[in-house]
Amino acid sequence: MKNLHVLIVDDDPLIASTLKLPLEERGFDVSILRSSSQAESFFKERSTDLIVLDILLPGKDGVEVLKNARAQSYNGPVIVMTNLDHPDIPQAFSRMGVKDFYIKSDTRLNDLVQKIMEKLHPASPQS
Amino acid sequence: MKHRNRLSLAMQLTTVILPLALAGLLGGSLMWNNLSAGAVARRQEISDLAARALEERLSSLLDLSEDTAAQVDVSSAMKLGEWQKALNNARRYVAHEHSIAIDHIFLADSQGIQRATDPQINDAIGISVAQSEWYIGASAHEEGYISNVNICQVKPKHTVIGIAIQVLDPGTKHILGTLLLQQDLNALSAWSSSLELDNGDVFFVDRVGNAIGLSGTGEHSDIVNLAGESDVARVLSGQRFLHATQGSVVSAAAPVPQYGWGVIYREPSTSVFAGRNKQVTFFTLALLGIMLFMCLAVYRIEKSLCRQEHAEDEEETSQKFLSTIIENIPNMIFVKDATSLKFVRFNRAGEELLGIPREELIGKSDHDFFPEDQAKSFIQNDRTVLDSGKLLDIPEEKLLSRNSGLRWLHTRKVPILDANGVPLYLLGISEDITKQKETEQEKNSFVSIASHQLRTPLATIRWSSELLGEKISNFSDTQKKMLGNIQEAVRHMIDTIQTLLRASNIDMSTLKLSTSTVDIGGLLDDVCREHAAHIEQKGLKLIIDCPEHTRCITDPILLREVLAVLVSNAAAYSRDGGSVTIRGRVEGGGVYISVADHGIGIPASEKEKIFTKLFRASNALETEVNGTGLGLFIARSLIERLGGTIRFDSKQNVGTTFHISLPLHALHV
Repeated sequence: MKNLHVLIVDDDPLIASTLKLPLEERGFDVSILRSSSQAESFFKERSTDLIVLDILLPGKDGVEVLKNARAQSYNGPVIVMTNLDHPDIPQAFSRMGVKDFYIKSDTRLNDLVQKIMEKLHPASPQS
Repeated sequence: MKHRNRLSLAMQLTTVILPLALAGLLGGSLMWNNLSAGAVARRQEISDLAARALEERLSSLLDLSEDTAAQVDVSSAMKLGEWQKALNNARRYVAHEHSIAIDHIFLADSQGIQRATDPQINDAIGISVAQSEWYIGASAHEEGYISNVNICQVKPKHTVIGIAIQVLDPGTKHILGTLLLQQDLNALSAWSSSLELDNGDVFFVDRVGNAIGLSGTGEHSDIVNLAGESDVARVLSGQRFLHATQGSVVSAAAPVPQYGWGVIYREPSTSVFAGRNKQVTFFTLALLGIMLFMCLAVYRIEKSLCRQEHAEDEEETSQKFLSTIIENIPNMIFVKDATSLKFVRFNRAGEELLGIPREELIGKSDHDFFPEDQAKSFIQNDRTVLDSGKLLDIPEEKLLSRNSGLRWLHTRKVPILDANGVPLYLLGISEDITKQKETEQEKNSFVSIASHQLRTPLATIRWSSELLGEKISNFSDTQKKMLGNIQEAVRHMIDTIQTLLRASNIDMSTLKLSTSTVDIGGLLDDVCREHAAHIEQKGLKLIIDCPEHTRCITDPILLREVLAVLVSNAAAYSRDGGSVTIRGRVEGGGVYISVADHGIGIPASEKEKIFTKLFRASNALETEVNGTGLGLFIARSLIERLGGTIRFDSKQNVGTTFHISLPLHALHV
């Protein structure tokens, strides 16, 4: 059976690769994209099972990336993960159906990984 | 200014007093003359009156003597040489005339030998009186002759005048003898008591200058001859005159030419003019009084005018002073009419701020210059101020300036009321806080960006150290300890950044509420669990006292932050082994939460500053190095945002209790 795929869109390679480690350990295929244009290209060719999305990106921001993905018929779960602490941001995403919103520095890595696994295996979350 | 007033006072005094003084002088001089003339004229009248009276009396005496001499029983007795009988008959006749008192009657024969006297004087009979003045006078006159004044030797000695007349035989017209009637001069002068002579002296002078004083009521027993005195000489020469300037005496004279007599009235001029002088003195004093009164009145009026002018000057000066202040204050100051809300005054700063000259502004309203929404907001605030009659502080309001675009203002609006409390004007004072606001925004966005940029590497460190922690079984104790230090330092840094961001968000007023029903007990448990490590580390006893179902509708994230600040502070500033008590309950229509510690307390002198941004109590600085001075500032800001209040009781070195009151529904405040 093919592994589930997680797409991380974040311009900071350090944080992206840090998140990638535990996900790969748990058996997910992980791709990292660093800009909105890379994300656009990605969705033209293939799809993913879950997106971990940053907001501030080179080029267009996270909201635009998500819009593009939706336009490319991506309907899977999205977890927004940012360090931008502004009350308007959750609203913009919740209008697009995104409920999971994390401040990177305030979140334990394990909590985030748990959330991703929950989203991908809603019936049987692993601890 | 004072100089001008003095000048004007002098002018007024001159214009009022000078004519008055001139009129007074003129009037006084006229009065002087009139009174002088009046006074002397009255003396002339007295002398005239006395002269007329004298003439009448003398005439009556003459008539009486003629009538007596014409009595047949007198002449027939004389013809027969019965002298005593003739005298008795004459006496009887004379006695008929009651109005004329005749004291003595003498009868002499045609040879001048005195034959009979009444009263009888024995040694006077038989002597010749042919050489006496009266006998000679009677001989020279067919009618009676009035003698000069004499002294009668019959006791008591007194002055007399005699009227002598020859008695003729009615048939032959031969001279039978001479009859002499003597009258006491006292009788002649008796009438004079009716004259009001004041201090004057009136007297008769006979044809040789013998004076008979009429003043007073005393007996006249001496004869004084005044023929040598000029006024006597003049009156005896038949002149009627008035000597008003003769030395210190006023002399009025009237002659009685028929008999060669005269009347003199003499009075010291001081007495004559005493009335005049008195009246003139009175008039002068009255005039002086009036002038003094006028001077005083003018002075008082001037003084009051001066004071009024002075008050006006002061008013003008203070107006100028105020205007200068208003004009040069760097804040916009405007005044609107309370009814029309049209501008009535604007200062320079206002003109510059709006970019509109005041000539254009006065008489116009907000709608004439500002966008609809701004004008509406301004006018709404104006109405609030005028309706409430109280000051309104508007911390921030936008205004579109003609010159400088959008400006932020901090405005205060105050009603100006009349004595009855009815608003007349609305005073507005606006400070342009645009620059301040821009700086604040720049600062806040700087903090926001900086925080964001700091968070990213911290997240990597945090996550990496967590990953490392999963491999902890392979680590030595030292490695484990080092990893623990890294994790704690990272968490502390992340907390600090979160606090900075929160404080910055409060400043930007971008805090939005997201309310839900919050179970206070559960929330308190969560917060305490987060701080459990800290509490345990200090060996503190934690008491949570909150009944079940203590709930309210509020923003759980914000309330959690507040409680985190209070619990964290309670733990940080408690002494090791102390206790922290947290209570929660529904009370008085809201929720009450308290966090009490037995720690270092807050110094009394610093209590007022404790909620101020970046402030840390002096004893807190000594106890705990780490601390931003933002916690209580954030706590109070958030509680207020939730519609609640926060306060505290504290005693230094005893402990502190923070009290929070929250509404049951945060959005219903």
